Amino acid sequence: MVLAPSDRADVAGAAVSCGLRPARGRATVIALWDPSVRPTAATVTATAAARRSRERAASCGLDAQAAGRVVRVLLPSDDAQAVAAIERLVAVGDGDPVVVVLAGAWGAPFLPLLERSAVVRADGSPATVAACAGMLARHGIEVVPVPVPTGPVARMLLRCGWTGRAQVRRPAVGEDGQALLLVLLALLVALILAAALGAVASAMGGREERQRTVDLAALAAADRMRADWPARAGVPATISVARFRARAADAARRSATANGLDDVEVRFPDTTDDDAGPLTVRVRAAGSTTVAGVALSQSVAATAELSPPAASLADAADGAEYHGRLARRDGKPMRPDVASAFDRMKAAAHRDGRTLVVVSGFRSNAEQARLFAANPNPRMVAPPGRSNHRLGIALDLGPSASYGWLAANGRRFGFTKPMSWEPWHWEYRPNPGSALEAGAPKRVGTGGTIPPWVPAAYRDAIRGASIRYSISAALLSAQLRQESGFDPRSVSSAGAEGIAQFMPGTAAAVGLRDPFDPRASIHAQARLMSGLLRRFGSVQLALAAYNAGEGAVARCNCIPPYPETRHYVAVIIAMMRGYDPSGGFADALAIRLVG
Amino acid sequence: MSPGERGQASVEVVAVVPLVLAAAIAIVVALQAHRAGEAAGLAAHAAGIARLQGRDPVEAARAAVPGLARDRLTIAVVGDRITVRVRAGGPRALVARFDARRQVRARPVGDR
Repeated sequence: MVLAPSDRADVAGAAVSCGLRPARGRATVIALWDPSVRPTAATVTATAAARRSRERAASCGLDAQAAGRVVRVLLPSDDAQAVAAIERLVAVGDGDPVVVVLAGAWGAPFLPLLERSAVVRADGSPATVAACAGMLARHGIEVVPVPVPTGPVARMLLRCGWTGRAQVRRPAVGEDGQALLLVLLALLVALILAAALGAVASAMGGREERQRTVDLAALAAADRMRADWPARAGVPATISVARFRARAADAARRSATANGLDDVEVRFPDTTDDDAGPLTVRVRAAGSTTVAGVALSQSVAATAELSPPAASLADAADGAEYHGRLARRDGKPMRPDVASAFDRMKAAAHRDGRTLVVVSGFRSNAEQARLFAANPNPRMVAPPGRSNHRLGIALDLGPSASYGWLAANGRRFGFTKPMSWEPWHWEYRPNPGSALEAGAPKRVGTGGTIPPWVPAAYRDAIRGASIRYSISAALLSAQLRQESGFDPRSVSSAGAEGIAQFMPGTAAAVGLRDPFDPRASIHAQARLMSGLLRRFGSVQLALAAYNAGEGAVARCNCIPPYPETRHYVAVIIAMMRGYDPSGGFADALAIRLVG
Repeated sequence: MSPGERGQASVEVVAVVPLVLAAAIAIVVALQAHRAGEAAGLAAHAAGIARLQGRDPVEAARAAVPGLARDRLTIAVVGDRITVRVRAGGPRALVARFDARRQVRARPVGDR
């Protein structure tokens, strides 16, 4: 069923018939009820099927005309007669699809027909279709728009009844157009979302750039502090804390400006009241941006710090080699003290039924260079300047049957196996990292001397403890200066007592009866440090363990992240600088970002 | 679909396919440009940090973008300027304009 204005009834009926599929040899019958139209006798071309259908329609006494692939039938003007004619058409049609077009003010007799129809199509403007839909909705009838021809040619073809060749499209109103509308709407939403996300991403990208800039600014400040640290924490200090901070802040600002950020705030968040100065610097840049009316924070901050390196000082090879007297065992050269220790170890092995043979001992850098050239694999042969054979402390031992005994007993005699994959390579390190291992001092004229700022009253005690426990006198001196300022009556707020600031429990553990006796305290300090050096293998870790406890260092095998401990270690190695060639590490402080 | 609708879909597809293709290419080029910019930023940042820490900035920059082909990343260190260039991925005719360049300025104290 089709509802259409009189002037569009022909085309509307034909357009609807485009969607029908008559059986082979059948034709669609378009029954027009339009009281304003009179029959005409025009002759048009038609298919044979259409002509046969016209004959069937004419047999019902109706005015029928075959046109193209359809048959046009003019229904009587009277409503009731028209409904009866439609019933006859359907009955005689024997399968011909029938499209009824009502082109006028139709009456109640048509209503049952409309109600029986699955779908009623309405032609006209969207408002007209909507009005029809509203009116028929009360009767439970669904109304959809009539398809429209795609252009004048399609319209002409429809008028002539050639429905198979005309192109029609669904009108853009009603449900048929909803999908397209939804797609367009979705595209629009996607575009808006993409634009918003792009703006947010751009803002975030800008924030990331700012973060990178403050990272570099914080590191630049820390680098300045690293360079200034020996001058600040050494003895005597040659720059003030204020100047130390100002130079670092200036470095941060210059770095930020060079990288495109003009306004940064520099702070030194260390809460320690240590006189030496801060080891941590924080750089912050405030700011915000607005995206689609929403304010996004662009504030960024970075924190950098100086860290004392935890590696063994012996690992900081500078290529120096041993130039002192050499002893020989099994024909191989080695340092005399190493030879003595080897003799003791060999005797013990012999008592256990084992044999020890020295396969290789001292090797000069030149010999090492030849070996490395023959086998340039750093895992197998250390590069020249890196092998500890040059120091006269490293021995390659055999035979392989003794490796197990060495692993179990080497440490008793001061030997350690630094590389797990070389069971034959042993190094004599009774106090790793502290003793002067190379014959030539790393800095001329500073052969582990007692610094001049040590009070005369304690110089002998320090010298004696240094010799007895094979510990750098400069290390003991710097530690005492940092602990108590050489005040034997000093008592800290935490209860540490004496010149070496022993807690009562620790004093008892190392057999120190009177912490206020400076000589006894200095010897106890050296004994404790000797044990810590053996255990941790580096001056920095031993100092950290002295300050923070062995457990805290052992848990991470690092300097614990306590500001006080980091300061303690950094200050002491700065004070050792210039007096102990194996401990002048203040200018080797590492800088890193910590937040 | 009526016989009259036949062919309509083809016409629509013919009209839409170039648009879809153009949009897809634009999206791919935009993504490649974004990736190049990100990589250049990361590499420049890593190089700047490495320089201040006394490490090799070129090595650090390459390590910061391990998925990037070696020939697409160029690092130049001149004075305190570290310039990182990243070639955008894809056909050069399309993406050459979107190659990324980032520069940071970093030099440790005493390295003059």
